[in-house]
Formats: sequence, C-alpha cells, structure tokens
Amino acid sequence: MNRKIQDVCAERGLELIGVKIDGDLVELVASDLRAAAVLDVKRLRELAIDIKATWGVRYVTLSLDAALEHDEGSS
Amino acid sequence: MSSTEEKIAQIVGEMRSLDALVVAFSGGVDSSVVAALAHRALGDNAYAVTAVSETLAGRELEEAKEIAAEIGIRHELVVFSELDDPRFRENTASRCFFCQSMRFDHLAQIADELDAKVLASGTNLDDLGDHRPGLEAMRERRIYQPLLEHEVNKQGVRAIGRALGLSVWDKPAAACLSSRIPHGLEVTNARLRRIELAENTLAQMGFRQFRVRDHDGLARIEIAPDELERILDYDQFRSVARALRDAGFERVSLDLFGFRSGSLNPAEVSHA
Repeated sequence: MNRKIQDVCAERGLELIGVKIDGDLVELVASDLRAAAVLDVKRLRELAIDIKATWGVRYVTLSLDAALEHDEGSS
Repeated sequence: MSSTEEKIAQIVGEMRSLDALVVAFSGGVDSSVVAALAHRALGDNAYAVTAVSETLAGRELEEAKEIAAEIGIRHELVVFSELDDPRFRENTASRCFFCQSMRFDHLAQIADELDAKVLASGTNLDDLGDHRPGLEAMRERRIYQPLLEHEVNKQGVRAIGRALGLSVWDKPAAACLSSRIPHGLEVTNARLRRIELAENTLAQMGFRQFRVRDHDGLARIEIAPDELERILDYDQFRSVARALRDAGFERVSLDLFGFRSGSLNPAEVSHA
C-alpha cells in the first residue's frame, strides 16, 4: 500500500520519501516540500480523493514537518 | 413582506407571549439571531447567557460579549467544567449529549435566578441532518427552538441576521473545541489548550474557516477549500508548522480535502 500510494502521487507530480499510515489517516511525506507547495489545490484534492477511494482511508494529509528540518537540524 | 420579514414577525410575535426568555448564547450566527429576536420582542426581559467552559475558545467568548453589546441584550455568563464529567472526558460518540445536558442544566439554574421560565437555543433546521446527540439533551429539557420550529435553515438564519443588521450574519460556523478530538481519545485540558493556541495562530494569519484536529499529538489542519491556495506556500508551511509545534503538537499535517464540518463524526460519509 505504501509503495502504491507513492507511485500514484508520483504520477500526479508529488514525489514522496514516505507514507505514514495511522489507522484511517494517511500522511504523505514529500521529498521536496517546496515543490509540493507549488502544486495546485485542484490536483492535490483529486489526489486525496483517489487515495481515499482506492484504499478506503478517511483522511489524506501532507506532512509539514519537513519545513522545520533545517531549523531543528541546526539547533 | 418577504419570507425573511415574515419569519421575523412570526418569531417575534410568538416570543412576545413570554414573560421572559433566556437564550443560550455562543455568539455564533444562530444564537445571535435568536437573541436579537428575543431582544426585539421582550427588551430587558430577554437575556443572552453564555456558558463558559474549557471547550469555549477565549476569542469566541470575546466575540460573544461584543455581539451581545451590539444587539443590546442583557448578557450573563455561567461558568462550569465539562471535564468534571468522566463520561464527557471519555469522548464517545455521545459526548455532545453529556456536554449539552450539563450546559442546559447550568443555564436552567441561571434562568431560574433571572425568573425566566423559558430557555431557548439557536438550533436550526439544518442541524437535524448532522450527527448531533446534543439535540436529544435539549429535547429532554424541552428547550424552545424557535428557528427549528419555524423551519428556518442555515441560509434562512443568515438572511434574518442580515435583515436585522447583525455583524455576524456571515460568520463561519464554529463548534466547541472538543469537536477537534477524535472519539475514543480522552478530552483533556492540555489538548483543548493546544488546539485553541493553534487555531488562534491560524486566525491571526488571516484564515477565516478552519479547524485543527488533534490526532493524539498530530495536528491535522483543515482549511476551507477556497483558502487552501493561500497556505500552499513554503514560507507559509514553515510558519504554520513552527506555530503549531510551539502550541504543543508533535507533528503537523495539512488535510488535502480542506475544511468540512463534522469530519470526526462517526457518520461522516462525504468530503463535500
């Protein structure tokens, strides 16, 4: 499931370094959050709808934690 | 006479048959409309009473005070703690029933002190289509629900609010802070406070309709679809993530569906 979600995201232009699955919540971890930030809302929503429909999960999210990695790495 | 004016006349006319009325008042558009109609009908014999507890965000309380002053209605506060009830803290799908039971029992006490025999809520027709166990608590206590009884839906409430000149006529729907915690996860003061802090930050950033859901330390941010574009910016990601970490969350994540009311309800079936 993890690998397949990464493939679906890559096809839509969102490269991932990981997928965290916690019950009914799927958290997408982008390899480049700057690139993810420039994707349009429509495309992200369609991606979330596809993941929800295919895997029956309830929530599909994009992790924002990577935005702080530099801060935390240098502190 | 428009249908909105007719509804106003009907409800005000009905309220005039009462000696006094206490309105359960959150400062949202529904209870503000009922409070404004009550004030129009009964003047100083109408009271807006806000139940203050851990699940009411501080900024919501301040807004309630402001709108009560705008309406000109007498405004009282009643303070209680939902967290005193373990059935509430347990956070089952019946949580709202226990909360509203406590809330209206406290409101009934203050209504008694004010010599008002009738307690009113801002329940509207659209509330019937949602998962609202709190409505059962109101039914048990025979709470007067003028908007519901006159078949006024949310759109109609906003139309009445606008016709009455209320500043909150288009205020986004709000819900108590415990609605951000998934059922089964205990409602604690620490969780409520980090949710409040996080949502204050999003409000300060200019977002209008949003929720920060607390998945046991993971903040799942729901932003209204028409505001999602604004958050899709790397610097915005950084600001939001930093602020929510500072509020006490361990992880921060953006919901790609955006805001939808009741997304943690057990019966949720769509993401429209």
